[in-house]
Amino acid sequence: MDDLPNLIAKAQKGDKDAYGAIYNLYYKQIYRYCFFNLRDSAQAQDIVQETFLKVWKSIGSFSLDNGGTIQAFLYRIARNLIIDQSRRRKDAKLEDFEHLGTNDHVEEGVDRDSEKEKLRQALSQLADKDRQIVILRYFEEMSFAEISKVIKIREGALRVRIHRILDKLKDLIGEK
Amino acid sequence: MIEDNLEKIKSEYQKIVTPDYLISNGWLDLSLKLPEKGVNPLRLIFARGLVFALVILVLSIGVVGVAQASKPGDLLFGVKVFSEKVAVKAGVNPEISVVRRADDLIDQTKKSSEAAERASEEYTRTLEQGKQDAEERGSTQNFKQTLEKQEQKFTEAQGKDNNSSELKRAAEETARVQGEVKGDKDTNGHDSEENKNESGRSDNGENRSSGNSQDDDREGD
Repeated sequence: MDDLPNLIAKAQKGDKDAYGAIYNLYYKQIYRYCFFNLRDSAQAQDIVQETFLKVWKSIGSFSLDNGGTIQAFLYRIARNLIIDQSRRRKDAKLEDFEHLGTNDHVEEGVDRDSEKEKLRQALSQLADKDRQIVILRYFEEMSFAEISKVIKIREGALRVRIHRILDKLKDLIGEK
Repeated sequence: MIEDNLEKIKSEYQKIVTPDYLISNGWLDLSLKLPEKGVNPLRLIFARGLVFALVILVLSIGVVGVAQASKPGDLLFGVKVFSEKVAVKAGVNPEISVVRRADDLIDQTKKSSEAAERASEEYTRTLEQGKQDAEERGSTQNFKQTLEKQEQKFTEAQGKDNNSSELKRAAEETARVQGEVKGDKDTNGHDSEENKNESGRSDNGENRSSGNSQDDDREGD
């Protein structure tokens, strides 16, 4: 099987099979990210498909230079679509975020201690961009370089921002 | 502490299950929606045609621009004449050909008798064409004014160069055509009464002076 740069190069030339391989590598991650943000499975699925459609259309302009990764490219487009969707969906309340783990999409046996609940609530109170940074850094385990490509801020500024976000979370849950 | 709890939430995050429909049909659905990449042959032909047309346009503008400096007998003189015809037909500058041929003639008389002769022939030809065009357009008045200026230019230039015979001939031709335009000849080739009077005033100084003297006499009475 081709490695990722080869698949990207083939997809850029219009090879749908190569793009299918890229899709299979990332669609579950993108779905998870969309679902975690939107709390709606149907919308999350639509955004996954829309994300991959948009990436296909603009993959010609994608470059691995300057630390670009296809993963960051996918998350950036997915994030923009989530923002658009959230704007349209006025009823999307941040409180929904608190109920993660209480629906059918999360496997059973999830520990729900009170500290975790507090943190969940604190996460819901963060600004959208800060929450995305937490998701990408701590849940998706992305590098600073990749997150900076998704969120479009400089790496140095991102490190400082993460430090501040953690401080704020501590403040919100009363750890300080 | 907070990192520990983030780890716990992360484990929940990672347990989010992808729906079966997306697993089984996601790529199938998407692959049908993906537009074909690669170059559309029609678009390619159109793009190439457009580029070709632009190149031709730029070259044509360049050639026409360079041709404006050409003189009778030069390679690009035909292009210059053609561009002037377009300007005349478009009504942008109806007398441009006559004016430019006169300027060419004055320039060429400074070079050689051969060049002057060629320019003189061109001028005569253009003069006849200009007259026809002016009559067709019904703007003989403007044409007459242009010819008056030409005649004056030729007269002034005659003293300054060696081939003044061509300039003299051109001045005479100009006067003749000017007269013909003024003449508005009838179908039998004879001047109308009004034109006779007009040409008499311009061509015959004596008529004019005698007429004036008659007026003066009346005033004196």
